[in-house]
Amino acid sequence: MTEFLIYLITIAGIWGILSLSLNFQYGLTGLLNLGHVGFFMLGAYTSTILVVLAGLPIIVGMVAAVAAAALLGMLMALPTANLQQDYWAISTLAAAEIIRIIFLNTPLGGPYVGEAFGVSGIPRPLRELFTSEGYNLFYMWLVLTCLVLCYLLVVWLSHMPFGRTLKAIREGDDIPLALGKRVSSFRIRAMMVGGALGGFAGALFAHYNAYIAPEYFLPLETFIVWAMVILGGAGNFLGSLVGTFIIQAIYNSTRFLAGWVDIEASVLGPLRMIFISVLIIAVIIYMPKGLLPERRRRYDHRPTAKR
Amino acid sequence: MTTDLLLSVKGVHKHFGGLKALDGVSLEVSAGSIYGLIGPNGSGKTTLFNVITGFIARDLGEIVFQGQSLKGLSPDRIARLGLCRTFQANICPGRMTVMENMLLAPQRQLGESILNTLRRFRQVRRQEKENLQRARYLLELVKLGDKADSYAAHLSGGQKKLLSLGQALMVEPRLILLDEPVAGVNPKLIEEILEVIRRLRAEGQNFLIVEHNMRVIREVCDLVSVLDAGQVIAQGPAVETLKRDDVLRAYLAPRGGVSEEARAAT
Ligand SMILES: Nc1ncnc2c1ncn2[C@@H]1O[C@H](COP(=O)(O)OP(=O)(O)O)[C@@H](O)[C@H]1O
Ligand SMILES: [Mg+2]
Repeated sequence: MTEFLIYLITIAGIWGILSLSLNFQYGLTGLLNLGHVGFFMLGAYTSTILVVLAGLPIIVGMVAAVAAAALLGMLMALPTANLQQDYWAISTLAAAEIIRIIFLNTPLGGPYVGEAFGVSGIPRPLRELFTSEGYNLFYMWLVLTCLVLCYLLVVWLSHMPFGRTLKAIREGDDIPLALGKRVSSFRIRAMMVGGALGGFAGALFAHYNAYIAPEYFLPLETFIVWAMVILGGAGNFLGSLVGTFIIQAIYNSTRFLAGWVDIEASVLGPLRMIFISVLIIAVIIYMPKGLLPERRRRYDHRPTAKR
Repeated sequence: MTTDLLLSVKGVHKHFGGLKALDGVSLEVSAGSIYGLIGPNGSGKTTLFNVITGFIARDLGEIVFQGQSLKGLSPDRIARLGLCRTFQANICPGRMTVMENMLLAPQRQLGESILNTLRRFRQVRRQEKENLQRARYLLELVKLGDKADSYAAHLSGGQKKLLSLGQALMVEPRLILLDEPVAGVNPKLIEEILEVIRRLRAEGQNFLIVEHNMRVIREVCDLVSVLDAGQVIAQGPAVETLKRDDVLRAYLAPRGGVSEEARAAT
């Protein structure tokens, strides 16, 4: 049980970073990014390739993962200047799939490495300092620390003039343009920040799971992250974390349910996706702002007495 | 005279398919005055604003602001040159509060750079404080002092117009283009807003105002251009120009009679 909880918290922590970063792009900036898993995948593969195949230190791999994903964010943002929002959304979906198909068809080094086989034996940071149970606990705390730092970063940026302009762009370009804002530069930077965090989550995942393969990065993953953001509340970063935990708990509950209810595991798998889908539909209908709606930024702290 | 010429529009054409929305419009706005632009619905006033501020490309013609041609410049670039416009439609971000809308407007905000928010945080915070003070002052001026923390979406139509005016003032531009600034504002408030505009003029703020309400134009504008079907049909000092027969006819003919407003205007 504790073992499962440690696993759940670790996984929810990694996905929490993903949903924070999608919330930054969608909740704050209004960017309909349907290719978020692309950042996660690129981060995971970048760090893996540099550490496993090039023999570089893990920390270098992680930093490169963040940089590569930020660069991808920049590339993905470029067409926003020319495409309408819905067409751009499709382009992001395509971008993530293109990256996956490239990894699916690229051999990496030796036989049975890369392509559909993926890469195994990815080293885990500081593994030699712990027993195997101790290590899982250590990694959980590592992930939680990273999650808190990412949370502080996005909250910080959203409270700065930078985030305020993103919030304005969410409702259309005309007002920000008329006020002299370089709208496309803001959108590019929002995609870069979100992308960088997504890539970071990918690297954390690769070095936790010790194995990655293209099948981990199907478009479905993007929609699970969307479910987390919508359930928690778009524009509320704490909401993202709550949404992530709930969705991950449902997603991983099959291990338990298999022992409790008399349904075959092969049925339970799809069943949990149906359950998540129904939950999201219900949230959209009955709580469109999510569990934790976006908070109002207050400036007027004057007491109720007359001005 | 030429030294304080702010904005010069020469022979501007804009066609939408077969429709000549602007058919050779010229006008000159000088510093120290309030310039009015009137004309019946669909005469091309908003289109002229869109063309001047780079939101739509013109077909022909020249637009020069403070000696610089605006040809091919993007709207944000033009705004940064000190030419700020408001919109006829109420499109201020509704999911932001009134105060957030105001704080959006100031130029050269250090905190718009990610690096600065981390490295030069104290300067960012100081700038934010100054902007907040100015925003409070301007919100009082446009009669929205008690609305700072309301969502812009919850304001009335008239209040949204006032918020746009406040936002434009936060930009501190050389010239403000107002597109129907008091449409939907209640008459008592209009009086107060005109007072504000006159006061700002006295402080050196320049305006180019599109307005439907003839009384407003007569009371605050020094010079006017009258637009009809994309052409300037009259130009000159506000009070005299608005008395001219051809102007009144152009303005009123589509409605086929002389309304209350016209009687009041004459
Ligand atoms: N983007 C556009 N596409 C096509 N026609 C337009 C467009 N914008 C304005 N028009 C047309 O141009 C004419 C002038 O419109 P507008 O400038 O909005 O008038 P005004 O502001 O004086 O009421 C109208 O006939 C209008 O329908
Ligand atoms: Mg108009």
